[in-house]
Amino acid sequence: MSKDLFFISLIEQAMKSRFPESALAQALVEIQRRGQQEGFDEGARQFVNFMDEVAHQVIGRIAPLGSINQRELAVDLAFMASMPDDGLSPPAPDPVLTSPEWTSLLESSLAVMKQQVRPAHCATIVLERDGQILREIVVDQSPSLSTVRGITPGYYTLALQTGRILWEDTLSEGHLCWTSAFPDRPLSLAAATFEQGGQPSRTVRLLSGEITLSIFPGLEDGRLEIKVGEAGGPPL
Amino acid sequence: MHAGPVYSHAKRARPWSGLSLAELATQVVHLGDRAALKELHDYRHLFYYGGNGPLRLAEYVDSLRGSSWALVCCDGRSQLLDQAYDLTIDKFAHLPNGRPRASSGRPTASKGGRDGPDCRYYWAAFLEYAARQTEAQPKESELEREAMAGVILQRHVLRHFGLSCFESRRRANPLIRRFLCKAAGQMLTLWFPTEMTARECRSWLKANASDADPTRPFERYRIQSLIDEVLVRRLIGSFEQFGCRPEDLTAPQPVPTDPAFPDGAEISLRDAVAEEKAANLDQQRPAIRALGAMNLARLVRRIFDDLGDGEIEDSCLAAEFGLSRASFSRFAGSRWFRRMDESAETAIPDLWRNTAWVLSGIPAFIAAGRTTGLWDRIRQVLDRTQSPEDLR
Repeated sequence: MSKDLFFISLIEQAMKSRFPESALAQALVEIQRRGQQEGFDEGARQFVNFMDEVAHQVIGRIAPLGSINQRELAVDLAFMASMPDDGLSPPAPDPVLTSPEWTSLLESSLAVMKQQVRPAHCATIVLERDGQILREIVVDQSPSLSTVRGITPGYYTLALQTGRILWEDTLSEGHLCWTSAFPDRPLSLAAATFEQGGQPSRTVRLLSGEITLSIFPGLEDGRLEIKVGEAGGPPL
Repeated sequence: MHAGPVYSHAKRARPWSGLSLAELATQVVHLGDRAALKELHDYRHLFYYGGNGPLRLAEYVDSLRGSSWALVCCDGRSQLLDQAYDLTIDKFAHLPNGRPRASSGRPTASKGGRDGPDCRYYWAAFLEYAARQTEAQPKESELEREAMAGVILQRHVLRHFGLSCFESRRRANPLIRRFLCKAAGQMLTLWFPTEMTARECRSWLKANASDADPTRPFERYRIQSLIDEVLVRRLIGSFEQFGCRPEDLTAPQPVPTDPAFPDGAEISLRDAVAEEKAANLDQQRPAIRALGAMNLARLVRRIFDDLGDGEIEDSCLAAEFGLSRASFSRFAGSRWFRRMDESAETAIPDLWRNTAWVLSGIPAFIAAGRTTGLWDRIRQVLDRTQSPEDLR
């Protein structure tokens, strides 16, 4: 057995015991006894140094516990400070310790909370045909009207960019082609020239009327109009 | 430009595709609806991070895992970052089976019990925040309500990722364990010294924190800070209390339950150190890192084996593993003390310092130290380094 590191072997053997606690206690006594024998003096000094290291590590494991608790508090405070002010958030507790490390973590947590940059606009609406994006419509606080031309038969989806589907359906010639949609009526000027207005073959109100989707038939293909109303108000 | 959401045209595959964020969360909390949970995780792109987005929840948490802020929270340990990631995902995705709901509609399962977290708690908390915001700042536009809910959810997830980082640090510490305490009808998650039994924890709380009220803001932090103070005080108190008592050495004592080394299992220091070193390869010196995880574990086991058989032949082992003698000496030299400057306590080779770290987390070793004066050694170190007040 190595005389310079004899204590490692004794500790390792003791840990394999069925009763490691008492075996380790005996091993530690044996280490102290053997350390006094000739030839083990270097190993004995290293054992003392090694146990100093264990002591440091025990302290290192226990000392940060209070600091972890305070760090958690820093993250929680940052979370509350970052929320839109609802006037209901509780004030920070009085005994918060403001060490430089704690303050630094609070500031970096606040910065991370605020760095989560979201688009300034309210939402993005995505129109897809058969899985392909046709148009992305950015919605801000003011009313808007978007027109998408060249609508041909297919499977259409109107969704928020977040993935929430607002409407989906198959559009056929019966919706998009004037002669199919209104076989008894003459082709209107608006339908023929694809300008705004005209007679929709279908109108769908979405999100309690905040968005209105209108399908207008044309000569060979149709157009979609997506109207977004004012916040809380009806569409245009 | 963002990657855009992935839609499915199979409407049946997304029965809740049209629900708002709050409606989906409500489905999860009140009905334990797995389809709603799948919709939230697989199809909703609600998060933004560092100019990227919209991201799904797991993608967002993965981005957080790579941030320097998270590295600080996890004390620079990549293994803890991975655990924090898994824990955060579990908080929002793990839905235990067959748990009844309380009459309040909130789940009755524990927040972080043996079966793992119950995501209904976390979605319920999100709904509470969202309801408070709606009450404080009413918005008639559903688009605006949905956007605000997204902001709140993002910060809720971010907060819980931060808390998961700290929980991972605590879980990695075998000297403490989680204790769930019920007060005023609610659960408080606290951390106590491993050596305290559940009954002792309850008694301590009754004596020292009988006024615990989870509804009070930041109550958990207040109670935990009391426990942390006691934990340090117990350690310091025990220095005075234990001396070498030979009579304790005769009768075998029951092995205390140890999370890292389960009751009745053979404890291999050699394997524990080897695995710990290999798992933290990125923290090793360059020459050791170059060995790779497998070879490093093999080297550590070989050194322990050679120690048991006789002297370590430093130069032979160094050559066998392609290390210079100097690199080997810094890593696992067998004679460091004679070269050590008296003031340079850091000269202990990395492997032996790491062995000391592993031992410091084994309650059986700490308990054995009580009977043999280890605590005296700790007290001396403590006296040399810092006052007990500094430990708080």
